[in-house]
Amino acid sequence: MKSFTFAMQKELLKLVCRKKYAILTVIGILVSVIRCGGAALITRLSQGAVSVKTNLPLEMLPFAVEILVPIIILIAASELFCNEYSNDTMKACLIQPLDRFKVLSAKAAAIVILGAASLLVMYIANTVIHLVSGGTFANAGYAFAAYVIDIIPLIGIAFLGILVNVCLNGPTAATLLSLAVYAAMKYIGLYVSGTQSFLFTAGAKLHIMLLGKTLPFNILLSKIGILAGSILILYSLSYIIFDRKNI
Amino acid sequence: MIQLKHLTKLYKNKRGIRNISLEIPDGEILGLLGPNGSGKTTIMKALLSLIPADSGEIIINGSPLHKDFENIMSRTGALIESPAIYKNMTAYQNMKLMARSREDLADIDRMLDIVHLREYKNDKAGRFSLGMKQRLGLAAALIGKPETVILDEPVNGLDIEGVVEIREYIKEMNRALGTTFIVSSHIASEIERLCTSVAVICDGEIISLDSTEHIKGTHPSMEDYFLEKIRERRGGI
Repeated sequence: MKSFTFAMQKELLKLVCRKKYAILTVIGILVSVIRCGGAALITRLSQGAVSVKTNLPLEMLPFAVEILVPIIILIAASELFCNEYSNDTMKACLIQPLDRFKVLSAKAAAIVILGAASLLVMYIANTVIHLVSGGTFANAGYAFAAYVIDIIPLIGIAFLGILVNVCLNGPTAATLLSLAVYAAMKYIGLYVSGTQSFLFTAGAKLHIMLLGKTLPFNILLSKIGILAGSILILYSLSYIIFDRKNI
Repeated sequence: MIQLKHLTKLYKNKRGIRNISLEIPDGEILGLLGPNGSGKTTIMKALLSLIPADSGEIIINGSPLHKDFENIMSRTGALIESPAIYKNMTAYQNMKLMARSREDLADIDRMLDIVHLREYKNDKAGRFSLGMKQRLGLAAALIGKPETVILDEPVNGLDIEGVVEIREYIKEMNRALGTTFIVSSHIASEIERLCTSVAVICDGEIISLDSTEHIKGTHPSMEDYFLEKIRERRGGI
């Protein structure tokens, strides 16, 4: 366990040393500012006739869990896999005192932690912007719970990115392909009806199923099962390919 | 003791290693000497499980490598082909990433001192020269005083002083701690100065294994010994 934790910390160090993840998070925060500013502008221009009441943390949650954080996660997956293969640093990871399963898991854990951290930074920033623009703490607890629950589907996105990366050699191709596959899975339901129901990407807003609404138990179970099963399949396939890859 | 038993690994182009059997006692500095493409790096990669062997076995201190991998690797340092350097990170951060355990972190400054990179510890490794990157890779391989060290062309890119310093450090580590070294090179004189025993590899097979002392006593130089073995192998052509 000590070796695994140490390895995970080292993988996280590789990610946090890169400014791009902070820049992407800042861009996300700027989008929130523009969203909030837009609402205030409408109120001002209409001289109070149109008042846009916002709950910024909850309104920005779909943007964070469906766009911003998946992009961060898929770029991080390329950083820790394809980039390492192409820069010839993967051998340094594989000669550590960890078997390949733990090496893969340490990298995956670091990617998920980075995604979770970005999501929570978005929550804090959105809450602050919400309060500064005249909002209240009324739904802060519900919003926090929603952000935390929506970290779970991000694990699936991380393994989707990892699977694409262990199959390819070029980091740019891997990033683009994993973004394309994610987008295809996310929006295929618009073109082929019924497909969304068996893709884990439909469960990005997991908080809707678990908080507030009371779904029938069997439907809740199937949704959670699809998510858990998808994560397991992606994890297993990623490991099988990673384990057999020559350095 | 490290034992390689009938180890075979062939790539798609049919090059690689065939039926390699070797026993390396503790405290040995074994040199793998051979021309380019002879299989030296393949042997080292197989020893570190970077590539799966097609057949054969690797046993280290009585345990098969695949069964006791984590324990064996916790006591093994390595530098394979080019050093694995994270270009956007500092020398110190690179050493942190190469450390095998938290205990090794305390050894970073000492290792950077030994390879004369202490003053560059906060500089980005991407800006280092080839020789500096090689020193950093060596420091990473030797950090924490591992029991076994595998070095693939360790003096590649080093200046003369660097070559001498690294050679002396390896010999000192071997003398003081009994560290086992496996060193590959295509430079016969370096193997002669550093190693206690030499295996000559050609076309993926070990064609000769002897102690350096015996080679020096029977041949004018390691180079002559090597050329003799290669010519014997290739039928005197």
